[in-house]
Amino acid sequence: MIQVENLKKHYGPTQALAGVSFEVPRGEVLGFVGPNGAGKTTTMKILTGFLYPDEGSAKLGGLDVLEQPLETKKLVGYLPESNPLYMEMSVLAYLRFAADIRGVEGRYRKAAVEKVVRDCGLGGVKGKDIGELSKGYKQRVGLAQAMIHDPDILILDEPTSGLDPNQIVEIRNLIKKIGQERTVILSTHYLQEVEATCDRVIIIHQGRIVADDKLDRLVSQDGDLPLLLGVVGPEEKIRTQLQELAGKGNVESLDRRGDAFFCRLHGLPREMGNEAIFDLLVTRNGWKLVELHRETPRLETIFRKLTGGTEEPVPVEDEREEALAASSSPGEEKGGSE
Amino acid sequence: MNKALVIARREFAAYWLSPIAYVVLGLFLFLNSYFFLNPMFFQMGIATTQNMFNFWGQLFIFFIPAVTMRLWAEERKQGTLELLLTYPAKVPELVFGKFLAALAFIGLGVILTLPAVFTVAHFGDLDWGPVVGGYLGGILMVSAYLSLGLFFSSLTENQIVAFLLTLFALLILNLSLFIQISESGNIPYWITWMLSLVGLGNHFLSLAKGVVSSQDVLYYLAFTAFFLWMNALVLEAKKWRG
Repeated sequence: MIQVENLKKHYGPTQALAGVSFEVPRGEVLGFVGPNGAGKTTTMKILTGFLYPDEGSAKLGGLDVLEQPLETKKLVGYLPESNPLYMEMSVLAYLRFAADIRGVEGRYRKAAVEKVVRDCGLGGVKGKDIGELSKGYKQRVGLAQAMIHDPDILILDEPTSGLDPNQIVEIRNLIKKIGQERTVILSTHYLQEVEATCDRVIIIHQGRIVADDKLDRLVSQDGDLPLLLGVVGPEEKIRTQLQELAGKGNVESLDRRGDAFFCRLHGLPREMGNEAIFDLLVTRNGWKLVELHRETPRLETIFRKLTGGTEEPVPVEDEREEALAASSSPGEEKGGSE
Repeated sequence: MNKALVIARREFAAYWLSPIAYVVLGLFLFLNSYFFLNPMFFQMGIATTQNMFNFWGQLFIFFIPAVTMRLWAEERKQGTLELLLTYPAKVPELVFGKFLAALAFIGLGVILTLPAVFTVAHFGDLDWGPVVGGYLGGILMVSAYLSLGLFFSSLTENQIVAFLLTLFALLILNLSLFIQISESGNIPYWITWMLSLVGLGNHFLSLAKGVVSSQDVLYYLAFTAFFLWMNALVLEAKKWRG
């Protein structure tokens, strides 16, 4: 559905894109991740026809965005980063305008407007001026205008930035719903958003793609999937026995709380599942197992590794990890220290 | 529906959502009536629209910038230009849509001056030739002013800057009108001749006398087309620069 080949773009002396190539098949939800200024927005602007590339080509549905701009623009719905809207217009008037300018035929316009109002949950505010709406509702209006012509492709530039946690969840669910029948590219700083909504992720850094894979593969190629263990028993014995089991791996002591000893087991062969651990600790030694959990490496970790770490603090807003960190290892820095 | 008309309709409706529109229109009609039906008019005892038209050239210098300043500058400031340029519409269609909206707005003001003209026609023997010429010429002149204002609005995201640039440009292009008024005798003839040749308002004055020359009409049409085209170029250039 989308083919991008060797896109390059300069803004004056700054190189925004240094040769970006990727393809997106029909129906996929692709996440664009990268630090500010990495080239996410530039790529999206080229796909939507707002910006011309210096070099390279971009095709939507087989049509080149430079050669047939009017045709490719019809295929795309676009939510720009700043979500620009005509604040003085009412939601309905604005959506009618969007339908007209998008070429929705007059007799289908009413139905098209009604559909996006319903899909985006705008029923209660459709008569209000856009300027009066909360940020979350404005974002919905932005999404609604992007979908008014029922496009095959949706390009959403940071659709949840600046929203409160409830609104973020709502918009994400909306995107998931939309993504079931459309090809979607969305950019975000929230890696958890990628995990929540995307089939595939492209990490872009300094105008280049540094990773492009299915989410689960990208996460697993990081190799080590450590196990988090909590055992009630003698610490030394537990350590040695686990060490034997893990072979080349190692045991990282984390914490003692009450009777329980918490540790992280690295380097355990993947095929050795939870059963082996249970057998060893409980069946053979009769210790109590209070926690057994395979830690998936956070996309944050991979992201930092690929984009050179600390250039930009990545917002961590993962409740799961926070809860885990609080319960098992209060002293540990979250997100890893690689 | 035609994309230019979609833009024009939204833009025309947008005028009425701001108090500026009412102020501009009200002030225009007030000043127009003032110049038209001032005491001089009744002393002359002639049914003519000439003194109204005589002031149009100058009157629009101050009103057109207020009508056009918002059109692109606001789109740039709010970021809505980005969406506008990703719609399946050609840039010239967008430009023409904006132009049509502004023309409709100011055209409404012009139409609202008609009751005064009909009043005069009712009481005296009005020569309709110059009236028709004046209104047609007025529309042409306004089109030229508007295209200039639109162009300057596309250069900035600040409405005030757009207003001042347009006002300044219109004043320069209309220097001849003011020189004629001051009847300054110590300016060499060739300068006033040059000024009246480029003078935007001058061509209107001859049309308003009922002398419809193709030269004057073409002058306005070419001027309008040139600046609308420049406006489209400015927007196209944005796609390269980002």
